[in-house]
Amino acid sequence: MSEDQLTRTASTTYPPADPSNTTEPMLSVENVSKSYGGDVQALDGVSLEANDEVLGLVGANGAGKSTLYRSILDLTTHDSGTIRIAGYDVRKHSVEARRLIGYLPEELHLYDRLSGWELLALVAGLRDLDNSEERREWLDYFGLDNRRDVLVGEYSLGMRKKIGLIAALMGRPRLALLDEPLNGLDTDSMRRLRLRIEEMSRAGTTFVVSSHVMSFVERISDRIAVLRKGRLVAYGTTESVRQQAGMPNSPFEDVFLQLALD
Amino acid sequence: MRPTQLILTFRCRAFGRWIRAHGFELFFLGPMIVGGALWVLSRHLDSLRAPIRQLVESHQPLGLPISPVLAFSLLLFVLQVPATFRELYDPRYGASVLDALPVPTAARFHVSMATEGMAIVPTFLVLLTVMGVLEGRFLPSLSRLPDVCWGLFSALGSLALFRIVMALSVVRWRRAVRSISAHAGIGVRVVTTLLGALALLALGLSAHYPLASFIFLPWLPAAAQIEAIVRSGFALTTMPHSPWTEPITQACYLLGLYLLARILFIRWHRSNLETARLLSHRRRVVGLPLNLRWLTTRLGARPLVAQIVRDLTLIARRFSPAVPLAAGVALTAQGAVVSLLFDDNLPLLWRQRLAVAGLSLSVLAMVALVPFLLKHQLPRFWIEKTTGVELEQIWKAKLWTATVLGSIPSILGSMILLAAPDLDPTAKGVAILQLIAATGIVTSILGLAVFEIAAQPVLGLIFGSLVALALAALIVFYPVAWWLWLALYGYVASQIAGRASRRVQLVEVAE
Repeated sequence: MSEDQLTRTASTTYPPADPSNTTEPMLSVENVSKSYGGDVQALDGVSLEANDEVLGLVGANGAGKSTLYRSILDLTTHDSGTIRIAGYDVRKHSVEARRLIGYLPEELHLYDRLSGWELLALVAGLRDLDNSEERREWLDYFGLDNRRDVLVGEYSLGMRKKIGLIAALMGRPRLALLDEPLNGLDTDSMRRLRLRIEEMSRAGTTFVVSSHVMSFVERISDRIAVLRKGRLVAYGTTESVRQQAGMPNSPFEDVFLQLALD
Repeated sequence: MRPTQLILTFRCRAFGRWIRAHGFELFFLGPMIVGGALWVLSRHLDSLRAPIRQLVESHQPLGLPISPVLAFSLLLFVLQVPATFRELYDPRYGASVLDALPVPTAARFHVSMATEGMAIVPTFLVLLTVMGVLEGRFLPSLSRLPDVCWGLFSALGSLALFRIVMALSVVRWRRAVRSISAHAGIGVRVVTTLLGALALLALGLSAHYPLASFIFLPWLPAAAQIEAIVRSGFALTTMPHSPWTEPITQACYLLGLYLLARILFIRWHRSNLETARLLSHRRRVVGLPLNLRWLTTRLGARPLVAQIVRDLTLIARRFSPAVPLAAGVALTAQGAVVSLLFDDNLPLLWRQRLAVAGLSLSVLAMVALVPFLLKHQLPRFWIEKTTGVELEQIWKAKLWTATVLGSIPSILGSMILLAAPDLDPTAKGVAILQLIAATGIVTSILGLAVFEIAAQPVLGLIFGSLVALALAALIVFYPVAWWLWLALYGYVASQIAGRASRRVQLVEVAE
């Protein structure tokens, strides 16, 4: 299927997100720090914002990306600072905040003894969605419609990732946190994911996407945040990040290596 | 260093780390619970010692109903395979990495054998302690210790080797069904079963190793049948016996089983690997006839219903070998109750009481699955945590699951009580009411406490079961003060329920 056709499919089947509560930024991270056992500083005074955009989050292994995601979801308790989702402080209103979020963890622990369809039904049920039609559309979009009744334990890495992506993105979350969404995806699925992210972003969903594929991050992101050892070392549009690295005309991969590595 | 030594060194290191990580439970909490339970039960143990010894020394099979015991032995036979299968062939577990390395097949076998051996160590220690307790001391007397240790070691070691042979044969047999040479697999399976039963006959009915008899209890009826055939075939009135017969028989059996397992493993390993890979791919999905939308309209909250449907689906698909085991224990308890109700030697009141107690045990066996279900779900708990489900709905879902699980044996039990021949209608009514009360207590206490014991389900289960069964027993055996027990239950349940949401919040999501 061509990119135009995919774009048309996405725009015809994907309604715009609920635009209520637009006064607060969708994601606001203010001076957040987190250490493990006092000696490993996972996050060190990180501040950033994302609203109606795609924010690319990049950094080397162990830079603090996953910890930031877990802090945003209040799965781990940050030591200091404030994180707000559409105005909700995640420490005080974690349930309300989580209802606005779709999350794809880097390491996907799924129920191997549920089928893909059952797993999506579970997530939809937990998010109080009655969306069997939408689920069918998503499975069809990622080419899993004929594998929906197969146990997840039988899925390949790419298929598991697709199920995780559908679980995160169905129901039009206001904020989508995608930690390494490309791992295991084939080229066609990567393109489909990119188009869906762009479409949903236009419809009002805010994305935070981390990946080690710099070309993908550069292409989809409105702004990019670069983490190094838990510190935010660059933040802004791709041009702005290039400027901050002092490499205005270099490929983004070189810029990343300059900023993210010692 | 040789490959076997190298691998075992690393395994021992990992095992040592596990011991260190669980030191508190293993060396403090566990002994405290066991010691406390033994102290509470010491009076009854005193009265049990003599009859047990008499029973074992008389070489008579225990007077248990044969059908449920046979069903349970069949279940145990089936249950022994998956764990060993996982160790031998599952690509997701440790030892399978050795298949891709230049490790001799014999070394791979010894590693598997060592792992199976390690698995019997806790049972060995527990049985050793219990044997000592039955003698009225902490360990068996020093003069008997070598005999007892050898007896237990040979019994448990043969069980471990027997498991390996069975797992090898099952995989081989499944392959053989699709090929021409079906007979080898089936033949080996039959022979190993017979060998196992004969060995159990030699080991299990020994007067010197009474506790070994108990672990093989389910096998005894089958073994007794074989013994009868052997006796009639050789016109024997008693089996030949001398002080050296048993140790020599045991050693020969162990050696024979080791050689058999080793030969089969080396010979079949490559082809079995491929078969196991195919077998581990389950393509057929068995759905539960649960309509989410229909249930939602009746139970209210969709997140709650979604979790209950998920839990029941996982149980129906045997998320763990604990599922058939729990079902087997529940069925055995119910079968025992049926035979008890027909036992004219017992007074009617005691028949009624023991029937309710047995049926409560079957309820407990099923509800005990819930903590293991939660343990299985913990790595996937991010799904609940990140989708904005109310904490109350998370623990309520487990309570509902426990209720559904407990209701199944409870309903079956009520039907058994209704069909009881000698009980009058009033006694039946009282017994059913007592069973319903016991079911309610067991399901609610364990269902509510499940998040209290998420990290250590076994220990938690012991605590929870003791509390729940104690309350149920008070209602069954001292029904006069029912209002007092009800108040006590209400207090305990409200205390646990008050903490439930907080406990859910504290459950960590795995990285």
